Amino acid sequence: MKTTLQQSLLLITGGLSLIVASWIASRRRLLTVRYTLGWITLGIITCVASIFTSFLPSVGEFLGMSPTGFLLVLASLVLVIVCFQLSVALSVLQIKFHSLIQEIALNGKDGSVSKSNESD
Amino acid sequence: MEKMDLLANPTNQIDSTMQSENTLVVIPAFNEEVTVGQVVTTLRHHGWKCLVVNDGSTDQTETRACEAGAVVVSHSINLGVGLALQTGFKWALQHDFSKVVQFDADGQHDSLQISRLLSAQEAFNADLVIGSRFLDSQNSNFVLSGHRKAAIELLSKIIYLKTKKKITDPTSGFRCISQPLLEQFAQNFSAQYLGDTFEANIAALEAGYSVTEIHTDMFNRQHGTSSASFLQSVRYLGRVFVISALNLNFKISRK
Repeated sequence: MKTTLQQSLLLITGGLSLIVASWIASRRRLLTVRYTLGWITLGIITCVASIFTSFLPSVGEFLGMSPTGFLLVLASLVLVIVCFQLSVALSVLQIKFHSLIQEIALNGKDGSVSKSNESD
Repeated sequence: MEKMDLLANPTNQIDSTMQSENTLVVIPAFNEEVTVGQVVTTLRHHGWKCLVVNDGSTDQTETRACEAGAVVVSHSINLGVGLALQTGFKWALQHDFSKVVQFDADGQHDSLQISRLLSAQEAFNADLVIGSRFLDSQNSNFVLSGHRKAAIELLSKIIYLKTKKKITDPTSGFRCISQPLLEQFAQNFSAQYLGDTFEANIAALEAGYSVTEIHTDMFNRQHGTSSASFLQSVRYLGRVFVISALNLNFKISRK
């Protein structure tokens, strides 16, 4: 029982740090509102979940894991989801970036130079 | 592939004024200052309208191309040959061209063969005409290292498996793309290595566009080295396998 209490405190600390860190980063314009809200939500979920750590041993045992191990699996799962979401966001940005460079190329010079072709 | 007698003469000097009216020669160029000027001069001498897409070169490519009289559009950052081509397609459509001939900036392609590509396009009413180095292997003077040849044959097999069509030179960068395929490619094109050639062939065939090959001789590279080493080839082939097997190649609307 003592172990789960310690784990709960650790989780709450982690969740609160996440909320505070994303709030600060957002104020300094290092995070857009979209991602700030995402991380704050994750922080709140962590805090709320910390109340239910008493379930950890039984669920862990059911899955053949120690409570700590189960917690670790959950944490990794969240990280995988976050990484995947970031890859998606990055890909979308990449496509937008490519179109932007093309747009600049097409709009930037064509009027002035194309005359050289019409003169032949 | 069929071959017509009128296309057989490699130095077929058809008066190109009719053909050049609605045809744009697009030359993607990345750090090709040594050759791009000469390539443009030759093309313009034969009456072709050329667009050089300078793909973020760090050398004098843009200046050399301008001096030679080409229209130049420049990517401020290097995006790769696929997207450079796509910029060319977009430009062509904006300026009411209905055909684009893709041409290399390194001097590998022969400007005299453009008329043959266009004649074939008209004769077969093809959406995509590929200038193949291997269609007539007996008369080919093109030298290719062993692993690259093998890789090209493998790509050819994959295209056959996926589309039941035989393309002898799936990585050829000497092609004629005409409407309505041009518009499709302007909207959807691949940024990946081999995406502009291999994947584009599959995309066109899968969507029911007609693809024809004619044999064209190409010069061996005048300057610079080939873009893929052995290890890179292996890596790219691996990627092509996964993309083809999972059907992840880019798609265009059906004709």
